[in-house]
Amino acid sequence: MSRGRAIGGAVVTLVALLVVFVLLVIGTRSIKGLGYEPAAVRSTTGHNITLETFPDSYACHGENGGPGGGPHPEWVTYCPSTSIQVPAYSTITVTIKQYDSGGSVHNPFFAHVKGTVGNVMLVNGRPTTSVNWEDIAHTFTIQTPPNLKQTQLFVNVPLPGVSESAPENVTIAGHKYQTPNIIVFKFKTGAPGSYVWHCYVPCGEGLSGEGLGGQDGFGGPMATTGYMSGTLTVG
Amino acid sequence: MADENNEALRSDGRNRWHVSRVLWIWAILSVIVIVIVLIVVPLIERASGSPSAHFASLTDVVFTALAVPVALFVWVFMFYSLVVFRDRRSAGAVENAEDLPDGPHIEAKPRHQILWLAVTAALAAFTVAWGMFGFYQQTTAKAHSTPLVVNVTGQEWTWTFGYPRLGVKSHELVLPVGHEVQFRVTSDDVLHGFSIGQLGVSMDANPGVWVATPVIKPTRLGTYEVRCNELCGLYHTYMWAQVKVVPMATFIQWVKANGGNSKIAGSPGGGGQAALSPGNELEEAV
Repeated sequence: MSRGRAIGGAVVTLVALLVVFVLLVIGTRSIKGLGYEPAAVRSTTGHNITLETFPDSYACHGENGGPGGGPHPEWVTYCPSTSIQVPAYSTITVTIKQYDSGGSVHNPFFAHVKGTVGNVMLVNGRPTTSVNWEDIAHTFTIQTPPNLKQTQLFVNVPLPGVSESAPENVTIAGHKYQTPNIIVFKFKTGAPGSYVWHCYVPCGEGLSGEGLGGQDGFGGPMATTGYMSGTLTVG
Repeated sequence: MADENNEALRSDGRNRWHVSRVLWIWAILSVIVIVIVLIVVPLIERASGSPSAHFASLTDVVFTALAVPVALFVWVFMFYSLVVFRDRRSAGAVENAEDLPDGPHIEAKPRHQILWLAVTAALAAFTVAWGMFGFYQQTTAKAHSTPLVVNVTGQEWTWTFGYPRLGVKSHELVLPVGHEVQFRVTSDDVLHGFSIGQLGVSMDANPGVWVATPVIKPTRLGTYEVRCNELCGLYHTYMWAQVKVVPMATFIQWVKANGGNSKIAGSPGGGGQAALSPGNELEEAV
């Protein structure tokens, strides 16, 4: 009887470990599960996408992507949502209203426009292929997850910063901001697939909040989906 | 006295029988498992895209095959003992463990110890020689080559590549087949790990420091992957890039399409001969 219990216990333990292993493999392959992931809203679906970048979170992170600030109102953020859904085999037009001031990227590569139609963007109506790498507020950079079988997509658009000395004559959700830079660009999608996108300007502190080091500016909002990174679903 | 001697002889004979039995089991299992290893391990290994990767895969196969009899030697003796010499009396038959008799007295024999030392020393010497040969092939043997240099920059969470002599910067890595390449690796922020398994390349990307990999030669056309093998933050898993090994003509077109206009020059002897051969295709085209 005791031998039977021992064997039974060993089998149950092995099965449990196998189940945990399989779940971990499935979980790490999933594009979701990396943090807070807000639902897509109307302006982040379809052929025309409209986004905004703010030096804080008051303009969104509320209910249904509306104003509210959420748990980290002081974090920089993309609004109204970082979950973007676009159709396959299409040309997508993205308009970004950029309200934040500029900073430096670690790698000047990200100061150049890559992967858009014509490798160009419009900044306040002017065609631009690159910006000063020391005056970039944020980037919108789409990457393909490790999957050689899906259409490879890489788009990098540097968003120039607004002048900190400019007057704050725009009021959104009770908070004042400078007149934004309007950036417009197009990119083409292929077959259906899932992608991730990030900002590559290191403006987040700590590992998962203030006070912790080690991430060299890629902590906090930079390492939290829903703020400076998100998902792009094609199809 | 005679009875004790007879009992000792019978015990010695039983021991030799058990040892002989174990050795036969070990030998047969070793042969079977080594054959399985020689068939299965190459199937598990990904196709090698360079001689360096091929040597790494061969090392996996050879070292696994060498480890099999060593591991089986321990396991066969252990499990044989657990099964054959287990206490067959029913539970509760022995009230006090101190009542159990001691096992037979065993003395180490010098020839067994010498054999053990000789075998382990030979295995260790073989692994050292094998590794030194591989290291020589990747370093000293290529000391006079003039490879295509690619600068690799890791940052959270992607890779970017620069071809300084060609004037190209890209998010994807494209290499000409049959031409030697050397990567110079660095990081713009935290520690990353630059790895292309199928080309036999792996090097830490240290912030603020440039580190050169051994020279490798892609010999197989195809698409491979750059992976980060040093945990670097939330999107570490997604920190990858494509590697395309293409014919030289395709590589030249890619260089031109990405704004490259530099010429490759120089040779080990300083005679001005182009590093790419035959025909100096890249120098003439670009």
